[in-house]
Amino acid sequence: MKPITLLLPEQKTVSIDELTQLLSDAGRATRPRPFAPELVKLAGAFSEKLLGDQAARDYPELQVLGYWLRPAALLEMQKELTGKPGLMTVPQGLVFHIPPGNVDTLFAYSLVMSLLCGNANIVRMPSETGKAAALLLNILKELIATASDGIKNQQLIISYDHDADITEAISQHVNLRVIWGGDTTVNAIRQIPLSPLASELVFPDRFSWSAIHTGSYAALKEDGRQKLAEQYFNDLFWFDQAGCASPRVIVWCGQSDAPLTEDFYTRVTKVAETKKWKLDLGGNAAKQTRNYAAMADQPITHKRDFGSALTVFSFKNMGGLKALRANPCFGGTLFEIIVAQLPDIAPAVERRDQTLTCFGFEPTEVEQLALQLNGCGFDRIVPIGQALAFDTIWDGHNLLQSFTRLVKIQR
Amino acid sequence: MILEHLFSESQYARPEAEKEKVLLPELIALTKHHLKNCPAYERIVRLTAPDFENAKSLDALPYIPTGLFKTHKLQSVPDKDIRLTLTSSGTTGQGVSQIVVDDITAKYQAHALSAVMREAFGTKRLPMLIIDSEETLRNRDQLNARAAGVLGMMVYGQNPVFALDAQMRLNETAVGDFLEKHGHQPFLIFGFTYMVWRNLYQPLQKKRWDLSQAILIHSGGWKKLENEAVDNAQFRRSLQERCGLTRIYNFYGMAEQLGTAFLEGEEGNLYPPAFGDVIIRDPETWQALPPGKEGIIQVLSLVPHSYPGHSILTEDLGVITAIDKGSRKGKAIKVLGRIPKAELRGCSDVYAAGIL
Repeated sequence: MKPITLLLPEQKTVSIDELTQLLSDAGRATRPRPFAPELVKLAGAFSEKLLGDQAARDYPELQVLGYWLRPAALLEMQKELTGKPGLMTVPQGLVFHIPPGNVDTLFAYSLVMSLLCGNANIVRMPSETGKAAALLLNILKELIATASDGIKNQQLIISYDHDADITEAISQHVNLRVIWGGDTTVNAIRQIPLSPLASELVFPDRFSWSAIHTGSYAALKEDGRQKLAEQYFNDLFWFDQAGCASPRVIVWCGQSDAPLTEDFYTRVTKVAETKKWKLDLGGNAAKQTRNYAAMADQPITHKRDFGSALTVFSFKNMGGLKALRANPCFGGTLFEIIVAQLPDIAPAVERRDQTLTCFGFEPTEVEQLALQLNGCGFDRIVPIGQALAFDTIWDGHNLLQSFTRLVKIQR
Repeated sequence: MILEHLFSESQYARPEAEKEKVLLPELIALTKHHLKNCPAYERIVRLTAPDFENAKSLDALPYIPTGLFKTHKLQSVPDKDIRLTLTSSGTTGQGVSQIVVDDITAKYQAHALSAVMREAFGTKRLPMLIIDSEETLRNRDQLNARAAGVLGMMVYGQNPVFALDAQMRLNETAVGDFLEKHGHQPFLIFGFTYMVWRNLYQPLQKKRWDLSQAILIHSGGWKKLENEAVDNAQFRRSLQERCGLTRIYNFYGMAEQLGTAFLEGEEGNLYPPAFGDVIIRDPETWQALPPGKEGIIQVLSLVPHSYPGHSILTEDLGVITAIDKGSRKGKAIKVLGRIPKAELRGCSDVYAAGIL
């Protein structure tokens, strides 16, 4: 069996027997109540550390995480979880988190939310992580060291090369398994049995859209356009457009207006240039190959390049989007379609489609689309700029509810 | 036709400007042929270079990335004309390039390679030692690039002898017999760079064979030898010191343009043949770069007829080191290695086998 590296609470190599002993200890230990004061304090300290730490301030994604866990936000989460009379919210128990390799901060969101719900946790770190993840791990380590023994010994972070036996051994001990995709990981890990008492929460590959009301954009003044471009830049380029919520499609609703769309794309590109966003050499080559594959396959009518950052492919017919989901472009490539009204896109939307970021629509128009879809696509419809804003409501799940259970107490 | 003429003449005689003038109309015509017969290619060209017929220079011609051959079977002739499919052997999870070859392309590939090899060792068929195993040549309908390379080169040898056994170990008896018979007159050695190093040079520590009459042709790149830190200069020096081998020619090429080999000349420079050319592109703007600037290598060739591989963007980094300087005319390049962390990250098998 492959070696297992324990990263938290302390760094050392452990055998599978030692690990299962740790798990069984953690599984039996008394747990804090959801949002127990010590847990809230710990999360608050984590937030403070992220926002104050010199090194962490170089990473916007860590700042976002810090902000997400600020005391006011924690209070909101706690309120969200308050049950009805006669229903007591309790922790799930021991939670196994399998985060993805492409989003450095996701493991921390998953872990901290689950921790706040009072759970014991084991996180399997991805084999390849970036600098932000390493920094995050160090901060977490320092912090957990200050926690009371009960909490400290219930939080394990490990790493190991893909090994179904290790994953199975862990899975047999846990009450909830959380797989943060993509499809390949979900499919592979689903083959590995869980204890019959456990449940599973999975996040497969998703695909996301954005939409702009042409008339509303035309009515924007200089500063409004600039602000929107900056927000769109964040949505599009933050994870090199490789996140599930990163927009791949842009829909313009209203009259076709090439100069207007060009104005928008040019502004987004300028933001990318100002912020010195760039892919590395391998990324550029891979983006190029992906784009050529799209051109070979799709009914694209126009290709427009904006600097080296952004390529926009225009579609006449939305049928082409089907193939795009299986092999999505990344690193700054958008597929553009023009429709008369927002609900016109409904026939092309699929269950896999996660986020629609919008600008300039009447609330009724957005609602009409959601009603028409009725669950067949788009788990989030949020303003442009919010694509990657993580929330306790994700992929159609209320995560705080998923990390807890309900005890019915009838008098 | 012009291509046959280019095969027959001296490969490095034409200055670059003149060479481009000869190649440009031919490459435009070839682009038209592929566009007419390969719908996926047509969609690409209509978007990337709709005005290619009026191109004034080679860099204005459309190209496609080699990675596309891993996801798409690109074909410009009917199925019934396909004689064999070349593959570059991929490892798990990675795509495998599929190159469909018809009779015309196969003929051109052979003539192309002959034109280049003539520059290295003339036209006389010499005894030949192959640093590979006969096992590599099994399954001739689905040829991997290494096997295709060996087969392509074998025709230049008289009664070729395989130096390695089925387990890829040096067959000392076979090599000893070969040298006894042919070692006193010029003979050929062909092999992949890393195999020449690992399976011939390194085992030779014990045997001190005299290879001073040999002409070594090798290809495949240095990536597989990265851990041993072997570069071209050390490769040459080591082989000379250990067995007196001085006539060594590296060449650069790939499965996607089989036959269009860039032969090593002075100072380790690599030269495209008369029927091909090279452009270095900036990996961000994709503009052609001047000599001295490092970028991604694009290779052009008149050889591919059955698939649109006449203008492809490789996954290699390179630099133009000279134009019309030294004894050979045209562009000279140096290959600087693989693009790091591309989609095929960590896949050295594809590299070593995929490049010929």
